[in-house]
Amino acid sequence: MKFQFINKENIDAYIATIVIGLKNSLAYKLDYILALFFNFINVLFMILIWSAVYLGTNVSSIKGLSLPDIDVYFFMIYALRGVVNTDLSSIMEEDIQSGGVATSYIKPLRYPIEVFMRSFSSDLLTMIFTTLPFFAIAILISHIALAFNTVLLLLVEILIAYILINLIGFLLGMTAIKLIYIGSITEIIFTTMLLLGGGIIPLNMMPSIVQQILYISPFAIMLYIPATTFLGTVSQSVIMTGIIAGLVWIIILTVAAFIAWGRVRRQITSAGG
Amino acid sequence: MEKVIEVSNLSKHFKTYERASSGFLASFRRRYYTKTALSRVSFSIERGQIVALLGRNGSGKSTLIKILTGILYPDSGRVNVLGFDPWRERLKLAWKIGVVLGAHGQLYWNLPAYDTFEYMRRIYKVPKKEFDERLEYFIDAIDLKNVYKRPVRTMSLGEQMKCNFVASMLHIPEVVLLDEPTIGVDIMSKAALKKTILDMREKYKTTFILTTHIVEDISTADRVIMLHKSKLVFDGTKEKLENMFGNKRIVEIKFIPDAELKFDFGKIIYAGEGVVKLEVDASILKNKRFIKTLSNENIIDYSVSVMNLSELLTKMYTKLEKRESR
Repeated sequence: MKFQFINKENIDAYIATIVIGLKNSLAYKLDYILALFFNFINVLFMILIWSAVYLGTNVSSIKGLSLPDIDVYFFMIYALRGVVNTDLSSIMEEDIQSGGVATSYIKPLRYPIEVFMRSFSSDLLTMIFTTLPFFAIAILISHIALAFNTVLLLLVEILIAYILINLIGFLLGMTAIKLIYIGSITEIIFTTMLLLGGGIIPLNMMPSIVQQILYISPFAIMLYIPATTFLGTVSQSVIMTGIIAGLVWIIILTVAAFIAWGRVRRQITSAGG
Repeated sequence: MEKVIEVSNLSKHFKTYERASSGFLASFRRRYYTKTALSRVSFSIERGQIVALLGRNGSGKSTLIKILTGILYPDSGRVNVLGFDPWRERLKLAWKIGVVLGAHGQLYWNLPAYDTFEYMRRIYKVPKKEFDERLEYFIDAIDLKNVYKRPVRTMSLGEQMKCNFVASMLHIPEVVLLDEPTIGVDIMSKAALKKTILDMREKYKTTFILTTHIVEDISTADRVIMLHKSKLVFDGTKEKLENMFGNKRIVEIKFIPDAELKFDFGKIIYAGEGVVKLEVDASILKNKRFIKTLSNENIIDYSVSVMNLSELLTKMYTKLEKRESR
C-alpha cells in the first residue's frame, strides 16, 4: 500500500481544520484569560518558595543560578508549559468514547492528522494566551537581548518539545479504546514531566548522575533546556545532548505511534454507537 | 441500470461484555461475548434509488451504514460503493458520498452553521460561486434562512439536523447515507427534506439510503430493506411490504356504551369505552353475520381501513420475533 502523509490536494482542508478550530476555541477566550491569571499566581507562588530557599540559606547563587535567574527561569517554565500542554489526548478520548470519531471518518481526511490539526488550533490559543505573555515578562525582567542563534536554538527546542508531547498525547489518546477515563494517566505524565523536566526544581540542582539520565529523557528538552537556553546558563553539550535525545525520542515514539495506530485503527470507530 | 452499491455475504461481529452479576464487585467481573451485528447480508442498489433501511434498535442498520462509508471494516463478505472498497479506499470514496449520522453532528457547537458549510466547501474544494448557489438553494428549500447564521448551540435539535443535512450535501455527493436524519425535525421540515431528496435525485441522479424509525420517512423511499437481528429479512418495494399483510383490514366500530355486543371476528386490537378496533381478513367484510352485526341498532358508526405502515411494521416485527422464539 502506498503511504501518503498529506498530499498537496488536501493541505487546504487541513489548514481549514485549524482555522475553524481556532474560531470555535475563541468562544472560550475567557477561560484562556482565567488560565493566564491562574498561571501567573502559580509562578508567583514558585518564586515565593524559591525566595524563601535563597533568603533562608543566605546564598546568592545555587549551582550558578541567582534568585533573579530563578524568577526568570520560572516565568520561562510557565511559558513553556503553554507549549507542552496539548489537548490531543483529551480530544481523542472524547472522539473515541462518544463515537464522534465517525464524523471525522466521513470526510476525505486522515484522522490522525485531522485530530492533530484540531488539537493544534486549541494549543495555538494556549500559546498565545500563556506562552507569549510569560515569555514577554521573562524578557522584560531579565533584560536579556536574545541573539539570533539563541532564538533559532529556542525554536528548534520548542518544536522538538511540541512534537514529543503530541506523540505522547497521540499514544495516550489511543488508550481510550480500553480505558473509560484517561485523565488520570494524563495527569501522571504531566506531573512526571514537571518533576523530571525541571518544572519544579532546575535539573542542574540534582545529583550529577541523575542529571545525566534526565538530559536524555524526553522531558528535559520540554522545559529545562529551553528555559536555561534563554537564560544562557546551560552548556552547549547539554543543549546538544537534549536535542539529540529529543530527536531519538521522536523517532522511537513515531514508530510506536505507527505500530499502535495500525493495531487500534480497526477498533477506534467501534465505540460510541 | 448502473449499480452503485453492491454488498454480498457481509458479516460483522463485535466483541462486547456484560456484567457477570450485580453487586459491589460486579464491575470487576465481565463476561465477554461476541455479538453479531450483520450476518451474511447481500443486496445491491442502483443509481438514483431511494432506499429506506428499516429495523428495530440493534438490528444492524447503523453498522451497515458505517461499513458502507468506510468507518467500520467488515469481518467477511464483499462491499463495493461506487467502485471502491469502503474500508480500504475510504479517502477516495469520501469525496463522492455524503453522510448524516443523526447521533453525531458535524457542526461546530460555538459557531454559526455557516462556518461549518464554509469548512465543507474548503474540504471538498467546491468553487465559491457554486457553493453560494447551492447554499442559497438548500437554505430556501429547507427553510434555514433565519437559522444558519446563529451559533449552533442556540439551535433546536431539528434545526441542527437540517444544517447537518446541508453540510453533507454541498459537494453534491453521488451517494448519500442518512442515519436517522429526521430526529427532532418538525412535519413541515420533514416534507421539505423529502422534497429536497426527490429534487436531488431528479437533478443529479443522487442515490439515497436512509435508516429511520419514523414511518413518514419511508414514504420518500421507493424500496425498503429490512434488517432483523443482523439478518436481511425483507428487500422490496413499499407496495410489496404492504401486500405482505394486504388481506388484513382494520375495522373501527363505535357503539353505545354498555350495549351488549359480541365481536368475535378477527382480532381485537383496541377496546375502549364505546369503541373497538378489529383486525380482520378482507374476506370477512362480505360475511353476512359480520354485516348483520354492523347493522345492529347499538352501533353508532364504523369505518374500514387498510393497515397503515406503522401498523404493518409492528405486525412484521411481532411476526419476526415470534418466528425467532420458536
